[in-house]
Amino acid sequence: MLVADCIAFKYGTRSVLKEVSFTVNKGEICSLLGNNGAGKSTLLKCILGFLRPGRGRVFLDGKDLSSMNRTELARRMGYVPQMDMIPARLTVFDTILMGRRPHIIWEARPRDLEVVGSVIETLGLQELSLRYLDELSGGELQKVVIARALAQEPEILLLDEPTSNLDPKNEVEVMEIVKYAVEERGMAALIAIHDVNLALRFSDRFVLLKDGCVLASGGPEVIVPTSLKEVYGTDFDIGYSKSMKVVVPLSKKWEDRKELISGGKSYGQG
Amino acid sequence: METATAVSVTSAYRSYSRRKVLFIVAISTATILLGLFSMVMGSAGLSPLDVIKAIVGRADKHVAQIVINIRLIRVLAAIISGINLSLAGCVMQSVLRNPLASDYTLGVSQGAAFGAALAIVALGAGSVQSTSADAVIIRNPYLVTVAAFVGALSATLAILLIVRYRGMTPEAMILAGIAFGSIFSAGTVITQYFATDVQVASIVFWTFGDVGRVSWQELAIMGAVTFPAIFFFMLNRWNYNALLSGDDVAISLGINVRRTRMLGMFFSSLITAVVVSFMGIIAFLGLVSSHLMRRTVGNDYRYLIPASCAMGSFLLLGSDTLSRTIVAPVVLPVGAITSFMGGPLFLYMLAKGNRRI
Repeated sequence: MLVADCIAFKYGTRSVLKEVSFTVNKGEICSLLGNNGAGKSTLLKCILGFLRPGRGRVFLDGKDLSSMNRTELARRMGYVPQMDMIPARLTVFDTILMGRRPHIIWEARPRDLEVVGSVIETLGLQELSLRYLDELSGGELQKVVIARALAQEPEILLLDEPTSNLDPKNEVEVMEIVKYAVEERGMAALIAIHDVNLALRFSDRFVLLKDGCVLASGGPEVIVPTSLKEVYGTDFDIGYSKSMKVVVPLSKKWEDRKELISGGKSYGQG
Repeated sequence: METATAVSVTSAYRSYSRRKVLFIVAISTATILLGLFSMVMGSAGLSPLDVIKAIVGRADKHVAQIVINIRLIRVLAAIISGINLSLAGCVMQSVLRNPLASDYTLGVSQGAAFGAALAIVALGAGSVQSTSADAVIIRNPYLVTVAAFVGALSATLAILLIVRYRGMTPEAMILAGIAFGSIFSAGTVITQYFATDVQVASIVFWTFGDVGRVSWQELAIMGAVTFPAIFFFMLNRWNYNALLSGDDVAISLGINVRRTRMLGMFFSSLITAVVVSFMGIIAFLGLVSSHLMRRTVGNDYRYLIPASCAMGSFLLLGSDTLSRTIVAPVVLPVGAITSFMGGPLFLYMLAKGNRRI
């Protein structure tokens, strides 16, 4: 469904993306993994058209995104940005209604309100619908932002670290919402994410970014200690919990230093 | 398929929206009543009935002359200026994402005043007198408006450039605005000393605006600018809402952020310029009315735009009525009254550290 073909992007002379190609299929969640500064956010912004890639093209259902106008792009792609903004003083309902903006000509029609109502219901936000955003907790706020993107009725959702500031309960809830939306509505989702375990638990496909290139892409089989070490620069253990793959990052440097400090003994014994 | 809860959520929202509409209608009605009251007040000793008769064309010539050409024009000028200044304030606050932004705090009004003063003194569009009653006479209102607009636009461009090349906190942006405002105000004062016969009165003309100086022709120019501007802003109301959530979100909703920002500032400068060219600077009105409405109807521009228009005209009309009656028969400049009202609010907002809209 979404095909990125040889995307390259430079900030000034600094090359962030060199040659990135991958595919996301309908009904799939695809996780974009890479260390800080690997270009995950930049890649999302190139796909969304915020940034113009120096080279390469993105296709959605075979159609080149650069040939679409702003409204068409907004009708087909929903974006959930990183949470670094002070929330505006708007009600939850008004915020989600804004997702209908690409579909509204002059004023919201009954159908727009219906879509917002049903998204609110699906995400269980009924109690909050007339509350202001700045009165919400981080988890609630993130759900509202996702609800706004869902109200756009897009074909693909692009999420930039949607779980980075959330507690474990909210992390899982947010990812479940995304999974539900993808399965129920036959959408696709591309998620830039740091938490490898969450990615493993919820996504069907993985794209590992390293130095502006795709190191590996594919199903859960690409998540192995060697590829993770290559991406994050540290060792990983892989285990299983309730038949789910779990990765544990190890810190070699810290182990070495600990030995150095305590003269070869661990703190427990000293 | 829609379920019962989804229906109740949307119907709760509908009644919430209806309350906002009712509120706007109430302020508009209050403005009209205040307008009638304002036309009754004054030394001619007219009754409300006289005023209504004069408006519908059934009063004698003398009364009609007072009501239409002195009182009504003044009320209409207050209403249109109130609309313009509060619209400019509420749009600037969205496109710059700065709750402290307004025509006055960014120096846009001062820029317009400088442009107008320059047109009158240097380009011969009018003359500066020494008497306080008619301190400035405008002979070519079009030239004055254009020059005021150029002045307003140069202040706006300066702000936009500084925002673009140095990411700024809202407070720093206002400091820059104060700097620009002072430069323009100094320019205005100096310009007037080049006028043939100048006294303090004409300087007061620009520093504290007054709605009682307008002619019908000038009012027509203001209206010709104001109504298309309201339409334009209403057309962009969804975009202003989206900008509240940041540029990235706005772009992802299909909005041309740069164009929305530029055109928003352009039209805000234009509507400010027409007010300032004919009436002088009316400080803080845009800031006060838009914030009163943000607190009551909220930040949703679909309602905030009409609500600010209503509140702006209500406040300016009220301030003008007060300025005519408080030490009658002396008429104070209305700009002094609005400053008394807005200054404390501005300080309060700064103290509260209100950084978001």
